[in-house]
Amino acid sequence: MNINNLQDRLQILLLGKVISKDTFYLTLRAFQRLLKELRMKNLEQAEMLFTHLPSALERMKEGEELDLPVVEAMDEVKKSPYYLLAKQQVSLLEEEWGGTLPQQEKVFLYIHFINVISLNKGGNKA
Amino acid sequence: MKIVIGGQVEKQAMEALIKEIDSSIETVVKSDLDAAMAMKTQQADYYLGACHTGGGGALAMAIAMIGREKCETVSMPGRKPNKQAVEAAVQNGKVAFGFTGDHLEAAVPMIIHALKNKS
Repeated sequence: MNINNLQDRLQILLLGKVISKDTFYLTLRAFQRLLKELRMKNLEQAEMLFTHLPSALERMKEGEELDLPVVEAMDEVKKSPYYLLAKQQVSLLEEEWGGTLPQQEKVFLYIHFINVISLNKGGNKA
Repeated sequence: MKIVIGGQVEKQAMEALIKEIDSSIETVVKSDLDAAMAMKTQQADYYLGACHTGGGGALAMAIAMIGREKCETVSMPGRKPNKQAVEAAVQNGKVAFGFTGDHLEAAVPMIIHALKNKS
């Protein structure tokens, strides 16, 4: 997926009133940050993360909560060699979002970021 | 009955499970976007999708294409599928169903039976 593919997907979600403009741009910038971090032109199998992310942002806006055993899940997440990189990407998103994301949502974001980073690290260098 | 399988995860497993329940049901596996488009253009009767949280990657594109009122989040982390809720959703005209991948074995039979028994 490249930036144009993502833009098209987000445009559909925006037009369908599934996401807001804020979420549209936050997601787009998160994608650009990850591209830059990995020095890639496109990301393989990133659709799940970048559909999950705008949905999560909307969920938080609505105050919907996920029920997840955070401690056990975090134990698993921290085993990944890409955890710190995923954490950094989520922190940057949080900074831009202007608040602290719920821990349950962060765990899912860590999982998704770790998956995408591990699939793409070392491929299609820009 | 034709079911399009979208969402993000467990697509092949979902198709196999549907066929196991009723081999006469026509199924097609697509990307979330193509699956939602198939619903919009009435190439399928129902949409099933899974992701890790049940609503996001599973249903986002379907909601965008056919409207929130046609979509039902069947399960989420910590919220298991509920037979009565699924039956009520089907009776109320919902045609797209999202759930978490780990609830697949409970959610799919519930949805299929509810669709087959739809009055």
